[in-house]
This record gives sequence, C-alpha cells and structure tokens, in this order.
Amino acid sequence: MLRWFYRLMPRQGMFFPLFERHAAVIVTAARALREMLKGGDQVDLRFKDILRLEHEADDIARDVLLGLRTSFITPFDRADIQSLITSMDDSIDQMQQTAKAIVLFETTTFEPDMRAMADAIVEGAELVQRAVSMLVNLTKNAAELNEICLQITRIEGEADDMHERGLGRLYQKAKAGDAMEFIRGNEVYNHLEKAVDRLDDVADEIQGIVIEHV
Amino acid sequence: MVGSFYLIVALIAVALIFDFLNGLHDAANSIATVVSTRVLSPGIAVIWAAFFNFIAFLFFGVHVAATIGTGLISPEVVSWQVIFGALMGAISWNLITWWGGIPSSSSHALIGGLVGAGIAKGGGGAVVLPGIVKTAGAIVWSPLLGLVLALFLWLAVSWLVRRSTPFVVDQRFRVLQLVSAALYSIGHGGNDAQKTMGIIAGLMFAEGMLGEEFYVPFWVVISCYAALALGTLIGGWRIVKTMGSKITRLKPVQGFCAETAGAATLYLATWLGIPVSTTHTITGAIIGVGAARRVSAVRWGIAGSILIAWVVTLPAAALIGALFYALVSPF
Repeated sequence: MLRWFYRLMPRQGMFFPLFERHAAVIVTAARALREMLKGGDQVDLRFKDILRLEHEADDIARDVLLGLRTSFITPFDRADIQSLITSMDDSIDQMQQTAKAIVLFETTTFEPDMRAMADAIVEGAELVQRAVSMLVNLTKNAAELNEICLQITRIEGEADDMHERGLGRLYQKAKAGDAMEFIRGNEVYNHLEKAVDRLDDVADEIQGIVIEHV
Repeated sequence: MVGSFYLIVALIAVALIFDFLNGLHDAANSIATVVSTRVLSPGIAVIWAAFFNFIAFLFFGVHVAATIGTGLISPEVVSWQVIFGALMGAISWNLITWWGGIPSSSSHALIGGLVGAGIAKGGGGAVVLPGIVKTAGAIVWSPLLGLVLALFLWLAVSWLVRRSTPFVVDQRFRVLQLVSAALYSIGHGGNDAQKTMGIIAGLMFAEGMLGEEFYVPFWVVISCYAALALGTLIGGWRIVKTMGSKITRLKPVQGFCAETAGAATLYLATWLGIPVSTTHTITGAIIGVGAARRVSAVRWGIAGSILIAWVVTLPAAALIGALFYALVSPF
C-alpha cells in the first residue's frame, strides 16, 4: 500500500555486503568441519582453518553492530539486524565448539552418522547463504525465502534423526565396557546437533524478518 | 421565551465547564508523545502544554467561533434552549464514552449536540448548509491530512538526517520536540477554545446581548482559552497515573513529525474557520508516522474500532442534544 513511499526513502546499503560475507565464512567453516570429520591428519589442519574463520566471522559481526550504532537509516528493524547477525555468529561459534571438542578428546576416527550430520551442516549453511543474498529485496523474495527456511527446518529434523541413530549405535558399541568411547562420541554428536540447531535459529530469524516486513 | 440573565450566566458557566472537561479529556494527546519519549517529565509537560494552549489566543482570530456560533445552525433558530440541548448532548455523550472507555471526540459531540438541538427546534431549514458541509468534510480530511503530512515530514527528515548517527538524531529531536509539542498545543488551544467561544457568543447573540452583529467579546475569548488550559493542566496529573502502556512507543524524531503534522493541519483548519477534532488529527499523524516506518507497525484493528466510535459520535450526540432541547423547549 505504501510501497511507492518506501521507494522514496533514503537507502542504507552497507549491511547487505556484510551479511553476505559472514554467510560465506559460515559456509567455508561448515565445509572445513566436514573435511575434519574425514579423520587422520585432516583433524589438525582443518582445526586451524576453523579457528581462523571463526575470528573472521566475529570481526564481520562487530562491523555490523558498529554500523547499527552509526546509521540512522536501516534496511529493516535495527533489533532484527542485531538478532540476525548474532544468530549467524552463534552458528559458526558452535562449529568451532565442535572442532575444539574433537581436538580436546583426541578423536581421529568418526562414525558415518557424524559425517552425515556434517553434510547436513554444510547443506544448511549453503541455504543460509542463499537466503541472506535475497534479503536485499525482501518483498520480491518473500516466497522463496519462506521455502528456504522450511527446508532448513527439515534438514534440522533429519539431523535430529541422525543424532538419535548415531547415539544408539554408539551406545551399543560401547555398553560392553568402554564408557570413555561413548563419552567422546557423545560430545561430538552433541556439538554437531547444536550446530544444526543454530542454523535453524538463523532460519527462524529470517522468517521473522520476512513476516514483519512484508 | 427570552432567557433570564441568570439562566444565561448558568449556561455560560456550563459551557466553560465543558471547555474545561475538553482540556481534561485531551490532555493526554498534548503530552503523550513528549512524555513517552521522556523529553519532559509528565508534570513539566502538562505545564508546557497548558501554557501554549493559553497563549494561542494571541495567534488566532475567531473564525471557528463564528462557524460554531452562526455557521452551523442559523442564528434565528438559536436560543438558550438550543444551546442547553447542545451542551447537554455533548456532555452526556462525553460521559457515556468516558464511562465506556471508548475514545471519542468532544468536538464532534459538541457539533452533533448543536445540530441535533437546532434541527429539533427548527427542522431541516435551521441548518446552514455551507458550514455543515465544510465541517463534515473536515471530519474526513483532517486526520487524513495529518497522516499525509506526517508521512512526508518523516520522508524529508529522513533525507536530512540520513548521514547522522541515531544518537545525534535523538539528541537534536529531543530539543525540537519541545518546539513541536508547543506548536501542537497552540493548534489544539486555537481550535478547541474557539468552539466554546462560538457556543457562548452564539447564545449571547441569540438572546440579544451582542446587538446587531455577531462578535466574540474579549472576556469570552480569554475565559475559554483559560478554561481549556486549566483543563489540560489538571487533566495531565490524572493522565500521569494511568499512562504507560497506552502510549505508543515513539522516538523523538517520530514524535516531532507527528506533532508538527498535527499542528499544521490544525492551523489550516482553524484558519479556514472549520472546527475539527484535535484528537483525530493527532491520531492520524501518529498513524502516519508509524506507517512510515512499516505498515505492519500500525495496529489497524484498533484504528478500525476507533473509526466506528467516531462515526457514531455525531448522530448519537445529535440525538441526545435533541432530547435535551425537547426537555426545556416548553419553558
């Protein structure tokens, strides 16, 4: 109804490139995590990558928050911008936590279900990247954004199933005596599951923004 | 029968009480934005608003008063009984809506009461069509103009401050809001006080106290502005206790746009001699400011129910006005 009016308003474009850069870092980190789960010497190599990427993401998030403090005009609600970047940063933080746990507990071999969850994380991260690139034109992309968010939620559901299955198998293997085996595996599964959950949180944030805006 | 002197005095007193109640009723509008943004404390805000309500008498003529006094119901028809009906109709409807918690316009209630009582006495011919038409038209265009002006003011301000930080914008507009609140209170005083002036002068003219030509005696002007300002002053203290959740969340820059748009609309209406609802005008402006940010920011459901009360006010007050007229017409 007031679309002609909103078109007349001054624009603030600085936020979109920052969001896109952050999303790209998340995707790179997700891929590094998947590589890490191939085991062997990948563990140490990818670990360093993930630490570096997480710092990069933190810097970008800081830039967004600084931008919020200095820009009067924002493309959508400033509270929403803050929530979105925070939830995106949380997802890569969780990937870093996963990597740290793996290194801490000296895990070098991984279950197939863990690798499946890592695949889900990569898929989710790529979807987030696609969604973020569409934020520039919320009204036009509303329907597609909704689709993407639903897909991410579906992936999260599937990852939950993988988590359950994986834990079950782990328990069966370890119940004869190796409690430590179970504990280490559980830690990894736990963090992987949280990482997928955080990506789902990002999807929720984006859906909220679409609903508010359109 | 020509009213006795004491009767006229009593009616004038009732009119001034109506004016006072008007100020009481509308006090929240004057101070709401400037208090919700915490630019002024409620106590100071109320004094600020009341002061500017009062000094508005320096800026405006009496065109609105003339419309009320002679431009809605023909002066030949106006008598103390009609004025009694008008005032009682307005006061009753205000009390009913106050008791029912429904927001309504005292101005519309007064106009409705006057028209109802006038028609009850003189039939359709009692009505002065040009006055009725321009007043009825303003019922629609005044909130709309408030809305549109607020939208474009917001647009202009956004372009002007686009390079500033939110903090600086906030600081600047906290000061500017003092100005816009003052402008709005001047507009509020200018339009609302004149309605009561019109009633009193119309009564006096009809009872032959003003001679050949309709005019508004200075003491009437001053006492009406004073009654309104006093109502604002005292109404504000009551509002202080019940505020909080009812006031919309506005930033100083938004409050400024809403108040300035409302003030400009009121100045235009007053200059054209049209009585308008100050409540509806500022509501339109606040909706404009909300919609400028995001259409979904406006609670359109509530706006709709306010609209219904708005439409009902005129006929309801007219009916009650006619009834009260009928009550005293034998005398």
